[in-house]
Amino acid sequence: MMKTLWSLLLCVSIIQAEELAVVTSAQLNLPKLDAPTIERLFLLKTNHLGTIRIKVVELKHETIKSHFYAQISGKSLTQLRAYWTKLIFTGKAQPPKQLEDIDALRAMLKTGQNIVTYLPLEQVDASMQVLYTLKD
Amino acid sequence: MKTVPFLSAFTCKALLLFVALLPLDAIELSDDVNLRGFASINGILNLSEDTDRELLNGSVVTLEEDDMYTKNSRAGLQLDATLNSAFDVMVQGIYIKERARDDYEARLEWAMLGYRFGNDYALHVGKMKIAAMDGAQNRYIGYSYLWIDPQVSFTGINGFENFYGVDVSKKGYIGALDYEWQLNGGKLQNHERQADEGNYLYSASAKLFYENAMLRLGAGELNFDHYGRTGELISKDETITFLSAEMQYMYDAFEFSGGYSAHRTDAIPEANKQYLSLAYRYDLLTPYLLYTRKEVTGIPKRHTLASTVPTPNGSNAAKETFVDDRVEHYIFGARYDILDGVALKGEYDQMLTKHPSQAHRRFDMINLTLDMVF
Repeated sequence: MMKTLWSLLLCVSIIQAEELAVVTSAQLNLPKLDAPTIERLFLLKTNHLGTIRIKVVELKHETIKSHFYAQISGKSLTQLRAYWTKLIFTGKAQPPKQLEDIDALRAMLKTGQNIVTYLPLEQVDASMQVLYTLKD
Repeated sequence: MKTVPFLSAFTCKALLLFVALLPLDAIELSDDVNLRGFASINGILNLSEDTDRELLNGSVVTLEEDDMYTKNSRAGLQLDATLNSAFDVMVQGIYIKERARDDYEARLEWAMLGYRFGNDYALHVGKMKIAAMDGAQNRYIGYSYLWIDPQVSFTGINGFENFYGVDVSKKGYIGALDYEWQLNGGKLQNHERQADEGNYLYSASAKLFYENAMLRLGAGELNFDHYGRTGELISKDETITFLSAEMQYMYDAFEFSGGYSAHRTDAIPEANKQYLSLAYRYDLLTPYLLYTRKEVTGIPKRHTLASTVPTPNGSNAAKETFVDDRVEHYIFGARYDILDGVALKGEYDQMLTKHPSQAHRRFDMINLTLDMVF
């Protein structure tokens, strides 16, 4: 039930705001990012920002994922799946870890790991640092 | 018209497995351990009266053989484990039939320990696949590419695809140009032609990405001992050098790709492989055209020794052993992404073969495949 409500809430957020924020933990103090760097990180072309090793994670939410990847790379989820498949089954990379809900995401950001993720802008709180904002 | 046993025993089993796995995404065994898999179920309907097919280098198979219809049917499982921030392990097993064998077999396809260091460097040690053409490493993962692997594949190097050894790679970018390079070295293994004994391999490849374009270049050398079909040693320490170039360009919903690879050796005829493809992505449906060509030409070195010996009819022996084989595929097909991780592909495939001892031959086939990954 809670999961359904959470999904509905996120859908409403994405439809209303249509703005996504790429964030990290406020403790990390990473530099602001540009669009090509976001694409490189989430398409796993790099796992570094400068000398800092980054781990990307994302919410298990089709609408948000679809919106995000279409904006950063122009890929549909189907194209993305084929793209991941090449990397996964040749041992080159693992796709971003999928988290069930925003609480799990917040908890992961607090672990102190070099996590970068994305979520609806209105879900950003004081524990997060916005690295980039995607607008339609 | 020849019909074929579309639902072979393997296909039925694979279908059941497929249905059983359908609702699955990757299985997360723990935070750092994932189980993933892939499967392809393939069937071919031969529309031609001609049921024989002569492959290059004299390998003759019959389309009536059950294995030909399930050449692209296969299933695999992969276990990934992240040991810590620097080390990971990947093991992949596959259940497959190669054309030189009688039955399906389970075998280890990848088994490697990875170490990621510095700024996007990676070192892998273990059993891997040669990074020649882009499809060479993904050939068995049908879901990862648009079309169905043709009967005469345009990837691979004389049956050599796997090796035990070391791979070093680096990803990076310069301005808007992304790049990735990879170096391989190790001991070869030949699954397709079991008789050949692989010796060493070293290769290098580089990939460049710029906006919607990708260019991949590869080169390398491999060495093996060449055996005949009856197991006799034909020649030792034969070396093949290979070069490949491949590109992909996306414009709006159009996707164009093409590749060329050349294999040079003194021991066996030289081979060139090419492909060209044009596709149009219309939401979940992607119609495509694919042309592939494999040519094997030249006089094997071992036969030139006989060239001074006249044959009974007085002709030159070397001339008789000159090889000039060609196989072309003209394919029109479509891929439909039914579900996340599931794609159905259907193709009309016209295969033309040319061999000095025979008239040109034509085979018309309908090829269907269901590909999935989880």
